[in-house]
Amino acid sequence: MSDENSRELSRLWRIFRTTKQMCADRGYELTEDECHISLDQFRAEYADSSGAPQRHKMTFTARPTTEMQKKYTPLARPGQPTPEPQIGTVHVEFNGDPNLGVKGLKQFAQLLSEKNYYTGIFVTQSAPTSSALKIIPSLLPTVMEIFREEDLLVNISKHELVPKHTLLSAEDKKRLLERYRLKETQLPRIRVDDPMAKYLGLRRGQVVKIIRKSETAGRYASYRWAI
Amino acid sequence: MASKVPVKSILKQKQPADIPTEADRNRRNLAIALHHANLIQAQKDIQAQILLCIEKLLDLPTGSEPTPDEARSFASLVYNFQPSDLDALVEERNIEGKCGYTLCPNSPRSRSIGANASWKLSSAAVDYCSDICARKNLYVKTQLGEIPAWQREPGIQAPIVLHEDDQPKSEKTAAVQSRKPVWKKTAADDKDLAMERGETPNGFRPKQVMTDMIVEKSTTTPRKTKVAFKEPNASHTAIEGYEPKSAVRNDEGDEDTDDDT
Repeated sequence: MSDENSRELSRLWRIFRTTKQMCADRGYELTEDECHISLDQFRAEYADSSGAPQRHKMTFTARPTTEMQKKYTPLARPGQPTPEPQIGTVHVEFNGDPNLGVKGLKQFAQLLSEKNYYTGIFVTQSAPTSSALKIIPSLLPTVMEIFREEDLLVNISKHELVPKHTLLSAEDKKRLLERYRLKETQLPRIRVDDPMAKYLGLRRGQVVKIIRKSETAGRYASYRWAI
Repeated sequence: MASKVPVKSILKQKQPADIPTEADRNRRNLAIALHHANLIQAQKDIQAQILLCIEKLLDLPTGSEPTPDEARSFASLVYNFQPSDLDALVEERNIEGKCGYTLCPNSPRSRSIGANASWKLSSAAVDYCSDICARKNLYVKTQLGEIPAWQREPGIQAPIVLHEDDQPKSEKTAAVQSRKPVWKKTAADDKDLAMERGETPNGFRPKQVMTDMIVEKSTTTPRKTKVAFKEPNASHTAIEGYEPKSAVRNDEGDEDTDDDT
């Protein structure tokens, strides 16, 4: 039994670490130590006396850095000279229920709206039902993202074959389109349910810069429009 | 000289086409775009409504017995569903620990039987408390339209009728049914029928119709088997008194040789 506990613990440790790294990559305020927590430290903090991990203890929140806020600020418009940044505190929760239905997700949604979190990330052990997933668009502008635990075991952004993705700010996007005299519809596209797009939490209409290694050019940058 | 005939072209005359102005085209494009946007919005609205209905139906029945109001609201809320939406409802109710049929307060067999339920029963039967509930749910499911609600023509989808046991009785009919005298039954019982046939209840065999004509049954004697069991001259090759033909022939040969020696 303790063997199973320790296996479960190391599994959750990897998931927890990837989640923190994901939030840090998006630009939330997290320290380097937090993102690279060691297994022993994780065991000391999040395991109970029998060595089983406690998911409810793993809940955390993070605030966006000023850089991130700048990135998410839309361009000034005649009516809005100083637009609000479209980002806020993120709340991450881990759920170990064997079945996740409408009620479970509703509870989380209620918590998000009560505490006024801008983004909620729900890491679930089991796949939520199809009708539960339909709740997500009804919550806008609150963003709810659902990740399966098994998808976060490994940090995909660190894989050799995954190029570096960086999100462009609204200003950068405008400059890019002017530089190449493009409309945004003329850019190559990336789906918002692409694994890397989910990792970065891309929203429809944003543009990512993808920097690949190239044998001939050294580095090669391309841009994709999230749809 | 012949009078001049006006030359007429044999080619098709060009109709002076009315070229739409820029503004016209824009207006038409806008109308088309709006039309499609409204269609998509209507679809989204209905999907959101179906989700709301599923949430409401999750909590039914509130008491131990479904009330007629609840039965009526189940029939009306489920109207816009497709069969797949009803499956989603069953799935959600199971997660909540309730029988898949909305008007049943019991827990599904996946809970009451335990972990063994999945291999004792088929996967669909596990979601309900009994086969009756499964059948009642199927009764509703077969009435649902395959066409999604936003594409349905108004009036094509018939209202959902619940299974007879759950049909909400209006208060009037319920009162009439309760006032119905006990002695008046729809079907006569055995006693009444026996009286009608002229049998007395104290008779020898009161429940059977008696006839005074006796018909002799033809008796059949069991056919005699050709080879009797344990015949004195049965040879060692006989199987339960039966002599296989090939064996008989061999035996005869053997006997011949025996005779010779």
